[in-house]
Amino acid sequence: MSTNLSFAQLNRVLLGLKAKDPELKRFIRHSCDLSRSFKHSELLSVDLEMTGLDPKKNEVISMGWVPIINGEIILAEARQLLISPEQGVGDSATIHGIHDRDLANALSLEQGLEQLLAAMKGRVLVAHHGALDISFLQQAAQKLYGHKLPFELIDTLLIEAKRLSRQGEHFDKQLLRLYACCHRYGLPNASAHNALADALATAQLLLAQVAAISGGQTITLREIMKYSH
Amino acid sequence: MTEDIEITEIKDYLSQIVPFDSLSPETLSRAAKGIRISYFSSASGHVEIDYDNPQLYIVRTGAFEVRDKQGELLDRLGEGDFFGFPSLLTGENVNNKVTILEDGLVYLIDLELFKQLRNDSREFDRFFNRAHAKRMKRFEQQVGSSAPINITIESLLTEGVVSLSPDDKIVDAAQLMSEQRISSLIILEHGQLAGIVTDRDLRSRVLAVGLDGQTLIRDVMTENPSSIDCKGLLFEASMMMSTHNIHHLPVLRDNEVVGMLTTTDIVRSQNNQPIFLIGEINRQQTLEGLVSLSKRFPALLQSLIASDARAEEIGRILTLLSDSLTRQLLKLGEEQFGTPPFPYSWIVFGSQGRMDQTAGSDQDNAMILSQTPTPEQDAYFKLLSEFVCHGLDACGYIYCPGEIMAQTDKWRVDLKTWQGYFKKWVDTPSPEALLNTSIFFDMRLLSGSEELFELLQTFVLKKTRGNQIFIASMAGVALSSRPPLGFFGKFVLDRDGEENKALDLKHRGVALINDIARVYALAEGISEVNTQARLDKLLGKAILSEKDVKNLKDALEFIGHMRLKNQGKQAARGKKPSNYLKPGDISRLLRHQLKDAFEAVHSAQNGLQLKFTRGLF
Repeated sequence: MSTNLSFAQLNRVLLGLKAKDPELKRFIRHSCDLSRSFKHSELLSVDLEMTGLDPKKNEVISMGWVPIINGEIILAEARQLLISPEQGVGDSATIHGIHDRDLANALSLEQGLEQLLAAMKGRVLVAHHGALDISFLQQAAQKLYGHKLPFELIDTLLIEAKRLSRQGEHFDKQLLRLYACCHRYGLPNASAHNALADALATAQLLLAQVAAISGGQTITLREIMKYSH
Repeated sequence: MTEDIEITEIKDYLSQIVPFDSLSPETLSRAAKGIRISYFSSASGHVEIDYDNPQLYIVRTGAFEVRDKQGELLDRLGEGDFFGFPSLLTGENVNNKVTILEDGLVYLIDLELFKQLRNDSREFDRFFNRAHAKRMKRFEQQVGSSAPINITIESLLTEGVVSLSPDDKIVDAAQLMSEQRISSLIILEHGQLAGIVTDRDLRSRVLAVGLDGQTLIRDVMTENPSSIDCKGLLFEASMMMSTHNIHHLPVLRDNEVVGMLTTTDIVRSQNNQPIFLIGEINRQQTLEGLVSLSKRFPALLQSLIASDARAEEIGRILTLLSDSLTRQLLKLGEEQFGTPPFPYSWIVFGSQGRMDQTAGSDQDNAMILSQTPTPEQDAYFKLLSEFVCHGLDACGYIYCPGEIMAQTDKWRVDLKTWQGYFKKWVDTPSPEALLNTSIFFDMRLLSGSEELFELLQTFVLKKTRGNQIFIASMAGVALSSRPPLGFFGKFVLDRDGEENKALDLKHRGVALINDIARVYALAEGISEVNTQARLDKLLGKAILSEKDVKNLKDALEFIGHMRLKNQGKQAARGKKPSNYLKPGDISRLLRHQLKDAFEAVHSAQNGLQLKFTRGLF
């Protein structure tokens, strides 16, 4: 344990000062203890569906998540939300299958983000190619709250890239797709482009990766994160 | 919107596996939502089971193995299989060990949810009760009994309802029961089961308390008696009867009474059991009687295979039957031809010697005479041995194609001649000659003089123990055939009799393990001849590592089990049982395990080659 504040902790303190909404303050101040072992910690596997890949132009249209608590995926707490985009779904419906007509009961981005942050409080975020999801979340936070949010991320894509490159193989980027990664560990097929199904597939992938990295030994969140950078 | 989120992938998966397919759509959703998912890595060895918090484990990917406290294999599990249910059903710590063979994803269901699912579907409930019964049965078999656990009540019940109404009089009940010669009556009201009356009720609830025959049945019957569905297991019925201390159980189909199951029915169902058959064999006074009893052996074998008995156990039971037949034939022969002029030993070789007979085993036997016989004395023994060998042949144990039978003059000789035979085999061995004589080294006394047999056995073991040239030759025999694995772990297929490509589970499987165990046993002077027993005796000896011994034991049981299962299927299809298995007929998991078993044989052969043959062959 370090007596000095880490950059991440300092960031949380500063952001906590900026935040006005008390719930948001609580989310920001509730940091994750990265020295805990994976088997005794809480994570949240998240996947977002968007109308495109550019956070400045495109919008979040669906959020799916499922927690991993003490090494187990808890389906009872799995959620999927539809978010009503300001500009309509447009052509992206061909990818995620969500059409404007499906969005009658959808939440606003603010309501959706509020629920997601409540589920993520004190938990490490798990995502496959998480940089993209985080850029959309930060864009939303900037717009709604006027500042960014602190996230601790474990990225299953980066873990896989490191594992493959350590095996000394030159590999095709295609091998890092969520579907291909799940297949490599003999995990059930992920149905692509449904936020909750992908969040679940990501969570299962992380379980398999952690088993492979740790070789059955205790491993802390920080050690896992080292693999995901 | 957030409330009715379903993980369709999980729900779809559950809906495809037995017994979850029997759940209502609502309960299935509840099950899918209540699941927790865990991942087990083979690097951590085994699954840590928390008995304070029992779970149902559903294997989604990977492979697992369940062993009991003694390390006996109870079950091998792959996708769609379950473990953990015994604790859920009994509430007790079961102390089985679940080893992780291959990394895998496992779905967990806790006690509360499991209870809800059992309540929702009778089918679901029964599935796990049966799975538990099956495990229990394996346990029982290990301790020596073999109850017919998966017989359904339906298959046994004589349907037919003898009934009266609650408003009939007791005297009518008594009359009806004595007319029909039955011990109980079903009491129906508006076509529904209202109660039962038994002869014991007539005694204790009517006569003993001074009521007369005019009393209404309603006043003395057992109301709302326990009952059981006809699809239930005999095992469940017998559990129910012993728990409630009752002897009569009304049987229902679609909630209508179709008959009455009694403890007598259950006792009668045991009659095809080995113990019963052996008792019958010992009572037969004629060859015809024995032949007709032997016709029931195939059905017994089928039921043992169907109930998933261990291969080792089945081999032992079949051998006990042929042992009893042989002893009874000897007894009948001696009664017919008179007392033998001097003591002799009747010995058996090969599969009967090892106690691992299967369907269609031939006979391999011989006699050791305690004296050199005069021509008249030998005529007696010839007559006796011909009687026994002929009897065995008539009972389905065909004459040995190699003439290794007591009726062959060469194999009906005195101790000194026997010692001479073995001396020659051991002192001047050649792999070619040993191929035909190796079965003599799996010998067991079946009847007659123990002393004679022990003299011969001690003589043989003294000659073989540490005899490098002989052991090397025997090792050469054991290496003359290889398990059916090629490069990259692919199966190598042989042609079976019908020109199909298949795996020969005998000659390239169990026989190889028998050969390997024999070499080590003779090298170490171990007197056991059963292969599992030989391997047990080798545990702790420096010559073979504990791991190798255990792998060989498991491989023998597994390949033997596959062979029996396959023969059971063949017999059910009306085909002659063979040793050939088509790999396409079994699941991926089983193929994988079969490869592992053959690997173990292969590696044991390599060990044998290194240790004994020093590159001689």
